Amino acid sequence: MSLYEVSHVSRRYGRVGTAGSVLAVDDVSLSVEPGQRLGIVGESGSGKSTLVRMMAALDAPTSGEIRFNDEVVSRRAERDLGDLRSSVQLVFQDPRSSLNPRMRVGAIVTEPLRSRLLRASGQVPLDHRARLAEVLESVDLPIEVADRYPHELSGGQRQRVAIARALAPKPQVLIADEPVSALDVSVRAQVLNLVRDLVAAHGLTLIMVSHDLTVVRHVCDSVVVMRHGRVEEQGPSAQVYGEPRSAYTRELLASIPTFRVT
Amino acid sequence: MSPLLEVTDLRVAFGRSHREVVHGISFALEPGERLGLIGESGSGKTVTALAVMGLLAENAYVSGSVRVGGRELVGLRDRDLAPLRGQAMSMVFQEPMTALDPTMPVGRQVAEVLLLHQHLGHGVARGRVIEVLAEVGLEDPERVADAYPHALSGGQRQRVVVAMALINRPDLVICDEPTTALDVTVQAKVLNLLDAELDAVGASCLFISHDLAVVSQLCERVLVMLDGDIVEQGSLAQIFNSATHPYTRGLVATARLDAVEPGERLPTVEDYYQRQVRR
Amino acid sequence: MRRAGLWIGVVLVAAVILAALVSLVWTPYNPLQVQPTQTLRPAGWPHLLGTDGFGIDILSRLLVGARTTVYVGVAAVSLAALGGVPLGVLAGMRGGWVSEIVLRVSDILYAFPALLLAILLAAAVGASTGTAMVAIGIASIPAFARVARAATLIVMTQDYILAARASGTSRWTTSVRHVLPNIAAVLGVQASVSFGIAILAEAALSYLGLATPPPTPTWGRMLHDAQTYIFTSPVQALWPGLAIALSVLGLNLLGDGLRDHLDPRLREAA
Repeated sequence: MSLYEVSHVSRRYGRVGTAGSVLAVDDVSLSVEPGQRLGIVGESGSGKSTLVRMMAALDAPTSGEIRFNDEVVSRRAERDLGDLRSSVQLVFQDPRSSLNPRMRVGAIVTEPLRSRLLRASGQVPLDHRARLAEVLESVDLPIEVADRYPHELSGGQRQRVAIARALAPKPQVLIADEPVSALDVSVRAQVLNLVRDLVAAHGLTLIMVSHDLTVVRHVCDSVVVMRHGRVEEQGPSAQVYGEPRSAYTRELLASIPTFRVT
Repeated sequence: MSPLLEVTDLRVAFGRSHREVVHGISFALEPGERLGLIGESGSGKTVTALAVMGLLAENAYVSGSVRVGGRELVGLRDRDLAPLRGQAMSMVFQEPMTALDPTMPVGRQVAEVLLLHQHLGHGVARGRVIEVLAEVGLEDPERVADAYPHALSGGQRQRVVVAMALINRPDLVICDEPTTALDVTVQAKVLNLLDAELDAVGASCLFISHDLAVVSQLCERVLVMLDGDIVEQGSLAQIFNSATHPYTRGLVATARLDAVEPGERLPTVEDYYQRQVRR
Repeated sequence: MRRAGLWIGVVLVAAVILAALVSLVWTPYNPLQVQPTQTLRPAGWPHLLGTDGFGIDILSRLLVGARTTVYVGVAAVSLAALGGVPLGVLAGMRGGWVSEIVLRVSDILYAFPALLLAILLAAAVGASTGTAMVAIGIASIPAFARVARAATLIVMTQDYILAARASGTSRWTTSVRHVLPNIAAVLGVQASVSFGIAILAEAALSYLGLATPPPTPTWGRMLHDAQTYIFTSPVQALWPGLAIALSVLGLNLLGDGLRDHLDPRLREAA
């Protein structure tokens, strides 16, 4: 049984026929198996972020259906989402925006543990201090950062905090939306290594959104290439990267700057 | 030939506490040369660019020397610097949305840069603007000229910014992370455009980025900046093959994502260089 | 330069509050004691700021007047914040028809001047300090609601709101934990600006006899009383006028200074 089953999902913003109406996701179907590491690649406007937001039940499709653990999660009331909320956690692109500047790191990381919905699901660690120490250690941050505010940390450290928060409730699935694109190249490798190690260590299912096929190739075993809301190509990473079938995938690959000496 | 841009012992400090963020750097840029300035956020690379343009805020203390075409700019009043900006030197910013005035059609903004430095009739100016917009690869330049920034895509906006920077055929163009906010395919196109346009105008370029791979598309020579100091400079080949500073070697390793087998651990800067004091 | 503004604001506002506090325990003279032999004395000794047409010590009246001003200001601003902030945050977080209703209601309130409200209240229950507080407070609700809504809309675009939702944090908790702390700076600015407006409004209302009834001294009533002597002893109007002007100026400077000082984005850019 698939962990995620996305069938014929579309998402339109604005009413059909009006000027601002945009079909952000257009009839997308895909499935995610437990333990899979799926990369979703595309440029801005490709609908990749909208798609994963719907998979995290932060947005609802205008048509189609999303199943998680064989239960329909699209268009469901918030209070009935306990299973999904405790099993799926997100890491966002820009930690400056995803961490509340007025909260200390300790409070940020343990926030999911304090959610009533997650506690009701019964799968969440109860000893917050112990769990905080545990997850900070697993993202290679010293326990002292718990008393700091996000702006006192470097970009890479902030993204580690965001990852620690995602790990805190012991999720099954980690959705990472462009986790390294707001970071300096020099910190990118660190964070990617960390994600890779954590996914392996905790047996997580990973869904990673990125505009960068080389980044995805490193961490993911399969890839979906999206463009204008549609799936352009999907398959195992090696194949999409090695023998891309679509012209657009080839353009994407050719556009990624590589360090070259002429 | 004397260098076009010569920076000597440039120091920049901020605020009442005079916290120094650029610690006496020196470098030179020959006419027609393209120099990459690499560093992570907080390394002082943007501050350096703004110091060269004389665009730092009032609470900045600049010392040392910045010479453009032999003329000393440090200590010059804003009134004397203004005629040089946009004319002798210009700048391409990271975020095209904020670099453009949202309340004005982009054509008028480009024309303004032109009219600041040349006395032209409005008809002539508009013709020239349309010409330049076409040059930077914008389709239907007439329509683009009358459009407001929000009506354009990110790539189109950055092309407009490039047009503004190049319309007066400056000797020096400073690009501060000009493609970081763009999509990869758009980034590739804008880099190609910059490459071609810099050649066409014959301008020198100081290209600032955190991404060595991006810099290598455009520049022949690279400065590596770390915590306010230039720790290494040399040709791309030197940096690539025989960097002397461990931090540079780390940067080179992290920039070569494609050289690592999928699933393998990626090399990090810390494998090569451990910072003494953590900020 | 900006900092200087903030500090001048702090000093002026502190002076008003200090005056109000001092008046609780001490005034040079009894602010209610009429002395027919001592009327319209110029500033000097023993009456530092002189006496008014009833022979009452002006400094004493100013000090007690500050108390009324602070009472009305604090009460009105609290009322406005308690009413406006939850409405604004609710509108900003929910959007859609909730937001529409809040905006329309606040438009209607906005179109209803504090003065008219005060006249109605005074007619219904009689003029008192309380009616001034309520009238000014209610009239200031829309400003708070709008500012809170606008600030909330900005906070709602941040990913930490999404992150909170993704981990099942309830809307209520999100508003208390994430929204309020991040709009607090803006609300603080609004509070000091509203306080300034409240002082002006209180002065106007008591000048018109729609607020605190005599003999309790208020700055507005002092202005009213001074009107009789505007040609013979214009300095009578100077003191309460100066007190009002300086406290409003102080609150505005404080508000501007706070905005520059508290906003972490502005601070980072500096």
